[in-house]
Amino acid sequence: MVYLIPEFLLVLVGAVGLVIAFAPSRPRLRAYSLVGGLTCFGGAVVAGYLAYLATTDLGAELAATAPGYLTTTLALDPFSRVFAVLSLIVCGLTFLLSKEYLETRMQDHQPELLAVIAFAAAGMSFLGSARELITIWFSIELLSVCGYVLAAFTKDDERSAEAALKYFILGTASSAFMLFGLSYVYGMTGRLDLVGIMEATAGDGIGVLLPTAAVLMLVGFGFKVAMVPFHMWCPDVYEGAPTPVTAFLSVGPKLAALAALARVFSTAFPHEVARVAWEGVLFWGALITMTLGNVVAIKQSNIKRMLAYSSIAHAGYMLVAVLVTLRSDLALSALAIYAFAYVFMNLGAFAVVTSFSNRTGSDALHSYNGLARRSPYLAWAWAFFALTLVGLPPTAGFLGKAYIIMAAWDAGATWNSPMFWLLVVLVLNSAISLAYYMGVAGRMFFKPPAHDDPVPVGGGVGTAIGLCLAGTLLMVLAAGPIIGAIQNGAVFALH
Amino acid sequence: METLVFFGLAVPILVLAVVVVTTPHILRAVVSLFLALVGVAGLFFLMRAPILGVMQLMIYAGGVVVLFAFAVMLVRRVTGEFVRQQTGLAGPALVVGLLFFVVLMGIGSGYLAGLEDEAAAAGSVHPVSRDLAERLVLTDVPEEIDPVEDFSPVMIRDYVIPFEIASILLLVAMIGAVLVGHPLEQKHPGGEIEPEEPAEEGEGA
Repeated sequence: MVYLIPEFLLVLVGAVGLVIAFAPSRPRLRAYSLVGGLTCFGGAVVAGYLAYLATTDLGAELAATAPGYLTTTLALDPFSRVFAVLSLIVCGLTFLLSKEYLETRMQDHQPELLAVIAFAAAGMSFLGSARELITIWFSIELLSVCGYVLAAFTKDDERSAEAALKYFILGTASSAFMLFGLSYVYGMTGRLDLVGIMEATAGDGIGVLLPTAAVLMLVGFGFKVAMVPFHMWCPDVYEGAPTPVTAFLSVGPKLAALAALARVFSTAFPHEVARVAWEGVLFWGALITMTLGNVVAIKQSNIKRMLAYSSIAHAGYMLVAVLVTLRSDLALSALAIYAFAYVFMNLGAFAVVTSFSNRTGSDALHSYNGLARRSPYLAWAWAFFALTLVGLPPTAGFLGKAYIIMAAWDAGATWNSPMFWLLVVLVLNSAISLAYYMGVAGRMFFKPPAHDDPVPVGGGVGTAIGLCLAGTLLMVLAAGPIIGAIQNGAVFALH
Repeated sequence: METLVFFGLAVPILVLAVVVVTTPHILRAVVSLFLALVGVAGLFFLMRAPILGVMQLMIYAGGVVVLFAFAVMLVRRVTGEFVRQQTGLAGPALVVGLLFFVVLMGIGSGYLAGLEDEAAAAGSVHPVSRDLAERLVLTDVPEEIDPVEDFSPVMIRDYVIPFEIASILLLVAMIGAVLVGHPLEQKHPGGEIEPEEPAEEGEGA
């Protein structure tokens, strides 16, 4: 039971939001976003302890004596609790960075928006630890339905309504594909748990139906991750949705789906035929996703669209880590480290965008001209997040990318092998991304502003930016211990 | 006999499903959908899954479609109105759909044929099912299964966590439905800061 504290906390925070929604008032909303955010950060500490506990003997003992309904549906391993930490951090940061937006840009239903974000974070946490098909299906649906609701919150804005409808229709279609794949897997093996599926497909003669089912499942996950060619919804939804929601959608569903992808495919389909299929699809998927995301991002004139394509590119990088889960012990650690860095740098960048658009009402790139003079805090924060997102050496982004490259190298990327060229493309892509991230920073520092009005930063969103800065910096400072912990053995063995 | 009943159900279901997507008459589509879903319930009964059959009747045929019918008849005063798709993508959609069907059928029937060959080689009398049972590792399944009695403990004991996740999911879906369905109270331009906002903010502090 102790293992479920993170999920309980998230559902509780959401439920409190629904109670507040009956009689919303400004002080109550303010208190809710602050207390809810702090609860999430507190929960993150607890979840972090649980993740540590799961690596010890005591944790193994606890897991062995856990009740059956827990062990059949959820994996109680360090990897799952690390994603619980991540869900809580994402939820807490989103609460903080939403506060000002909700107060200035939304007329009503503000507590509901936060509550749905908390429920979505719970879904994220469940998805990261689900170890059988029914739980995977329900968590991914919880996450998706929350996403549809969140995207539709500003339905009076025509573009937002259109984006929400697009998201809903494409999302349900991809869910249908995934369910189709799940039903085939169950029909062929008669098993729901991932380990059981692996055991039942161990022999040969399973034929091509299993890889087909795996690829169908990949369609569903690919949509949530925004893997090309299932990324079409991404820029429109990110542009149309309220900015704090965009911030959440760009990290929450994506990371949870990546974690589930790594767990499902490495646990259930490690045998030859299916493995060749999904590794092949993921290889090309990762390659095209990161390239397309970066190349198209250069041409964008709206900062939310630009960040949408940038988040597609980052999904491509993380897919490389997923791709090598079966070949390298480092892969899951690389995925987790990159996920943490991505949460801090991407939410940080979105917090800057939220803070700016709260005051100016604009998301156009040219309105960022000369921001360094109007708000030095935002401009310097952006510059820092941009460097981190590119992955230049002393930043957390570099740590993440370096680990992904090391994992791929460990998986046997020799000179001139396909994996080697994938890594070359990854590094080239990082160089391309320098153009648009630093392009915005260049506008902020070197172009003259249209006018000199200062852009004040609200308390909540300013704190969120600060926390993201602190998070990325801490990751760099703690790089030594992190690397040590990973080298001390397979910390992230899936149970 | 079973084969006869299966095709007796499957063919009408397919025909009705085609009618659902092709007819421009919205009420006719709803009725066809209703009948198709009842037919699917029949398939579940045929496969000895009475729980699923009853659920299908209660939830889809009984609940969802009736809701559709209500929505159609209440919202549009003119229920006879014709609705046409305007994307002009019916042709490509048909091609892609058929292609998907052919590929899946090919792969699926290949899989089943492989199973039967294997079973025949092993000298089994009842080819597919015996081999499937072996493959499914179903050795510990009891002889007699009472689908109704054995269903509930599995659902609310072993799978209580997905069960609870589903309840949160429904809650969120309900919030979403209320939010989306709720009429707009006042018209205000999206993406712009309301002029009266700063005053309100001072009052809140």
